[in-house]
This record gives sequence, C-alpha cells and structure tokens, in this order.
Amino acid sequence: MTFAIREPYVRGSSPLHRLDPRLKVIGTVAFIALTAALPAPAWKSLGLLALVAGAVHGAARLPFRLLWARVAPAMPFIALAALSVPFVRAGHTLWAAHWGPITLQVTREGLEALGTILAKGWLSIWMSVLLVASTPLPALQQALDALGMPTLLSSTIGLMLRYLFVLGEEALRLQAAREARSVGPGRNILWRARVLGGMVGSLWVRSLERAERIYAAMTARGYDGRLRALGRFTWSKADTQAALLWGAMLSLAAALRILF
Amino acid sequence: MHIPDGFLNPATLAATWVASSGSVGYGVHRLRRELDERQVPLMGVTAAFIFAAQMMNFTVAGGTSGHLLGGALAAILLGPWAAMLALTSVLAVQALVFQDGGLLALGANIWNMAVVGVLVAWAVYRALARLWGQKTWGQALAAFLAAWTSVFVASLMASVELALSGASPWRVVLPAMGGVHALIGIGEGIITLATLALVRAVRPDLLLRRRTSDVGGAL
Repeated sequence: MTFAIREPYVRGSSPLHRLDPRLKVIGTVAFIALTAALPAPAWKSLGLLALVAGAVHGAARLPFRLLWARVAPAMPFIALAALSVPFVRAGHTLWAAHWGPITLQVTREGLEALGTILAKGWLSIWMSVLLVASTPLPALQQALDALGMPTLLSSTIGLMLRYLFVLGEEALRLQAAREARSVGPGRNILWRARVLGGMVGSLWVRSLERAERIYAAMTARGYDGRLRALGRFTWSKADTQAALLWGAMLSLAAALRILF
Repeated sequence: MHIPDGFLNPATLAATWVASSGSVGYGVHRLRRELDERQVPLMGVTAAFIFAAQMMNFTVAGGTSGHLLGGALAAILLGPWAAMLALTSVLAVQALVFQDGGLLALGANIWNMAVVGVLVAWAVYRALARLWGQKTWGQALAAFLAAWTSVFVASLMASVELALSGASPWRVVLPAMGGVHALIGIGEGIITLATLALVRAVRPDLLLRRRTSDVGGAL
C-alpha cells in the first residue's frame, strides 16, 4: 500500500528538464495567464497555444500518456462547473424546450463559451502538468522561494512536500484499518462521519508526535530555523533563448486574437 | 470548491490575489513575531496533515463519498494565523502539483478557504466557546457551528466571485453552491467535533495549552 505522486519523469535530461526552474514557473504562469485572458471566440490563438504545448511536451520527451493520466481526470470538475453556461448565455437559440412557465434553451454563444472554457482548462492543466513532470518538487519549492514567496510560507511548503507522502500513507493505513474492521459502509451517515472524525484525530496526534521527532532530529543536525539547499540556480544561454522563444510564441498567440 | 482556471475575469483575479496575499502576508508577519524556529517543522507537518486528512473519506450514500475540508479544525487546533498559513500551503501544493484548482485562481481559492473560511471559523468558535465553553456540549456545538459556517461562507465567497466574473448567473450559482455546501457543512461539522473529541480524550494537553497564549492550540 503506497501513496505517491508518480514522478518517473523528473530525472530526465531533456532541454525542458535542464531549464532554470524559476523560468519554468514564470513561463507556466504567463502561458496560463494569457490563455485565461483571451476573450471568446479565440480558436486560432487557442490552437496555436495547443501546438506550443504539444511541442514542449515532445521536446521534454515525456510520454503523451500523461494527457489522459494527469490532464483528463481534472476535466469533469471543469465541465461540471461550466454546465450551466450553454443554457444561460443570451444569443442565437439553437434548441429550446418548454415546460409550462419554464423555458430551457441552448444558445450558440453559450456553446461557444462552454467550448472555450473546456479548451482553456485543458491547456492550463496541460502546461502545469508539464511543469511538474519536468521539475523535481524541491527545485519547485526553491524556485518559489527565489521568486519572492515569504520564507515562512516556502519553508512550510518545502517541509509539507517532504512529509506529504509519509502522512498520506499514515492516512491510508488508518483507512485500511477501518475497512478491515467494517462490514459494508457501516450504520448511518452520522456514525460514519464520527468514525472519520476519530481517524482524523488519531492522524493529528500522530502528526504532532512526528513533528516533535522531526524537530529533535533536525536540531541534532544543526537546524537553526532556515532550510538550506545545496543546489544553486544557474542561468544559462539556453535559458535566455527559451525565454525569448516563449515570449515570441505567447505574443504571436495574443496577436492572432487581436488582429484576426 | 476549488475554482479552476478559465472561470474568473481579470478584475476578480487581481482583487482576490491582492486580498489574499495581503492577508497571508499579515498572517506570516503575526506568526513570525509569535513563533520560534521550532514551529517551522510543525507548520510543514501540519500542512501535510490537512492534506492527508482530506484524503480519507467516508461513504455518504450510494456511490458518493465525503471528506474533511479542515479550515475550522485547523483554526481551532492551531489558531487563525497558523491555520491560514497551513491551508495556504495546502492549496498552493494542490494547485501546483495536483492540478486541483487553477494557478491563476489560486488567489481566489486562498481567499475563500484559507482566509475567509479560517477567520470566520475562528470568530464563530471564539464567540460561542466564550458563551458556552464551560459545558462539553457547548464546546462541541461551537466547533460544529464554526465548521458549518466556515464551509458555507467560503462557498458563498466562491459563488460571488463566479457571478461577478460572469461565469455563471447569480440566480444559478448562489442557490446551487450554497445549497450543496449547507449539506457538506453538516458533515464537516460532525467530523470536526468528533476529531476534537478524540484529541481531547487522548491528548488533552494539546487543547489546553491555547488558554495561555493567543496563538493557539498546539503551537
């Protein structure tokens, strides 16, 4: 029984893996910000951004299986949140149904807005999957720190990433223990929620005791309140080229929407 | 309740980023004054705890299951500022690593769940625990109501942002989100008070320590 984000790709040696993590974080945020800012209809720009994402994916030598393994599972949540859009947007009616005083109609503008939301969601998630799949988590945390996140917050995130999997497995053990003692889901919903509360309480007590041991172990190794990392960021010529190319691509996508 | 990217308009994104980074910045400032370096490992483990607690689920009915959101629990166990920081870390990792909630919408999600959700829970708990705190049922009811209000108000915040962005009209999003989360809040309330009951039975010292300082619970 294990719980882990599968990270078999972060140790690659592709051009994307070698880029400065700070550049990758900024580039990802810029890509998602541009995607979000494009007003519908922007199919040409979104198409270009999809080509760009595909090219990055290929250059990183990551398997395209990531698309359905990591990107697709997030889509139902977006679809669910956008479900009402085709019905409530005003415009050309494509389909309508009447039940007494209630009229339900689908408009062309509404369908277009729905398609745009889904495409933007897909592109944004795709790009952040590429970032995480090509950057080790500690490097990601150091990049956030270097980009000006308060140290207390970035240290918390760094230690959280370190212990996420330990406590995640602790949680799965508690869940397995409950399943081993239960026949079916168990009495009524109130009782089930209370059982979960007990499990969360146990997890909290175990987490605190673990935190005390961790602090003792860190103090023994010379911890003085700052997390230190041996790795230093190095900005290379390839980073400059990648940054320029990225800026050009994003500008082109924006120009496609403004000019055509 | 995690808002994905593509729903909020630039004005709402900017406003929620300013509001949440201001609040978290203030929280970090308060914590830095009140905590020593010992608390950094504790903060990291606490954030990982909330993440892990959200992984454990219980059967609601049929094929659906529910889990804890943890804003109120964190506020009661840790105090408002540490809870805000822990939940912000959880939301940042969920958005960055697990694609749960958008990167641009992270400001809004932090505002709804880590700032408003936590502060509302803390205010409700403090006020009610002061009123009824002498009795065991009073503490339990205060925890339940703090958790319910936290979830409900955070969902209303998310609805307001979605409606202001034109992603969904007021008359659809407010009753839909509010209605669903009024129910989810009941589960959250029961889990929260059951968690506190267990901690009180096993390690009462973790809850008692708060009386001596304003920072809260375990810290």
